[in-house]
Amino acid sequence: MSNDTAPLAALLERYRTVYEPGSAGDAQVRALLRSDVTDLHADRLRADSLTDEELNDLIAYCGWNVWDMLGKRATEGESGLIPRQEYETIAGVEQYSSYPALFELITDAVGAEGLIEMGATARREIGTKVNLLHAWCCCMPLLTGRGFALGLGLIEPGERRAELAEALQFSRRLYRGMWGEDGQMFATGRSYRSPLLAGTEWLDRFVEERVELDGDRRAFYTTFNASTQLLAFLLHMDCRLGLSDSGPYLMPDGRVLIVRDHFLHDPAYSWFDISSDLPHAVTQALFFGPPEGMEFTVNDLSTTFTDPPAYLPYLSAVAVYARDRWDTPVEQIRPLGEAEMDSITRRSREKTMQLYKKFGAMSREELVDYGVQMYVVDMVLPFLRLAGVVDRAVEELNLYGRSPLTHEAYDKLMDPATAAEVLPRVLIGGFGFVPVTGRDPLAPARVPTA
Amino acid sequence: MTSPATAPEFVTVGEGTSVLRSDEVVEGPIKWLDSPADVIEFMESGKAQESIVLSRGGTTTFMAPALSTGVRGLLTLQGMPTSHLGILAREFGIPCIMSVTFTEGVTTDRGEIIPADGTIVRLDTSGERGYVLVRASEAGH
Repeated sequence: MSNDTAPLAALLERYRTVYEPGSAGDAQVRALLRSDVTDLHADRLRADSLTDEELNDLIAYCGWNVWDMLGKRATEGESGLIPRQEYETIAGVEQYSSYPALFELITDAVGAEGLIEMGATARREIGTKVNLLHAWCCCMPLLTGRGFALGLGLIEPGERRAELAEALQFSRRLYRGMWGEDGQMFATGRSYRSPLLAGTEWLDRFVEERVELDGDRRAFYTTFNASTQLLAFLLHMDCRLGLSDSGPYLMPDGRVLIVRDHFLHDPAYSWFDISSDLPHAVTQALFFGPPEGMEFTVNDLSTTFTDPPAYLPYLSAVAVYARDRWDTPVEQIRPLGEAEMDSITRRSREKTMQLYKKFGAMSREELVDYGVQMYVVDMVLPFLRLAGVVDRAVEELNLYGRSPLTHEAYDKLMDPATAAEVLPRVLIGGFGFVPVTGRDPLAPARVPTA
Repeated sequence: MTSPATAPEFVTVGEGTSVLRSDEVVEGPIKWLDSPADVIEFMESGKAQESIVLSRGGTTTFMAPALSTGVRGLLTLQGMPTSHLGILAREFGIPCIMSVTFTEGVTTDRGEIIPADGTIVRLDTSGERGYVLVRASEAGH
């Protein structure tokens, strides 16, 4: 394994000091792959497993993709409330341990075509966690967890080749269903555009049911957006699992549409009892009239970024909906009126403070436990539910438990200094994405230095 | 450090990365929040909406009550605009400068330099670099 070093600043600038961020980096990396594994052709989804070349290529590409998504945020700094770095690393090791078997359980239940059809839910429904972020999370945390275990010296790169080759095929099938067409697996290979609802009746419905906004009304709607978004972050332990954007959609009148879900309740987690009177999800169809040249992108984390960054001042119309429970039939998704929106805004603010106080009184170990649970369970739960195998996952595969490897990693990763050292090396330096076998198609990983 | 053009009575004491660019002048007393208990107490004090709050990290949840209550501005010593706190500050429309390095002030128990609580600070987020200014008289200039 490489012992090369490079300044942290250089590694934040280019992955492994070579590969650019954005579409330029995507092109650089894909040019070096020996297979077309990131290109989702239907005929390559029938095999239950990737070849060695495909597996190593996909691991290499994922290393760049994770850096592109998160590298600049790896320096987010510490949290004074929720120890996110610690729980992310511990959860990642657990996901490396447990996800291959969970994916096998789902695949056995629905088959390869069933997985693709499951992914297609994202093109039929709003207010669903079958979204790009959750598809990404069926792939990346498992690999970053492998990276953390490698970084701690607990495993060797060549371990579990067969399980990894099958687990990553699971993700490819989901993605093929979500995009609804052959083509690149990730948004990084699709110019950071994720218009999953394109061509569906949802867009017509949003246009028909939208409310045009003036100044006062814009403030009302942006307050609803911000307040529910904040509660979703806090409920989901300061990660993005409670949010999901799709788009951008260019509308016939020239406006840009972003469709945004905020997830506010789920019975799967004990601390969500605080929001049991809120809908499972609220969905906002956000219409923008931006100035010419303003760019909208939606990345693999289902997150919208704009250039320039201030986009809410251009919000010109909104349509808002509620999905009351996670299994509410899509036909029963209902429009939200302003009176109920006002109530939800007020309750979201109250619950944010209540939950903050609850978390503020908990120990670090308890908060890490909640965070691990959120990551490990939520990332796979939508697919377990659709496959009808949640109970089996809990009883037979210990969905809420922890593997021996996770127990072994726990104390090391609970040390903030260890987590702070491992994360940059794995994610920014690329050490977490070394091949299972054979040669790395990319330039060597590098140890970050100050 | 390049300072923006300012009225002569203001001096720059901190520089970081602006989350959103705005020409709006934002000014208020600064308050350092170092624990969830600090955050809760300050948000319930009735003074939060007039204040500019400062935290160490750039994660969302630590500052959740500040975002929800609606403070005048947010400053952090760590983190980037693409972080969750940066994203939420944008959603709430709260002026925010992240990864601020201060050149004068008091020292925290971890050795960081920050303005003393109550210092009236002015935020300049008109460019990609964000600046924290104080009156020259307060800075002792």
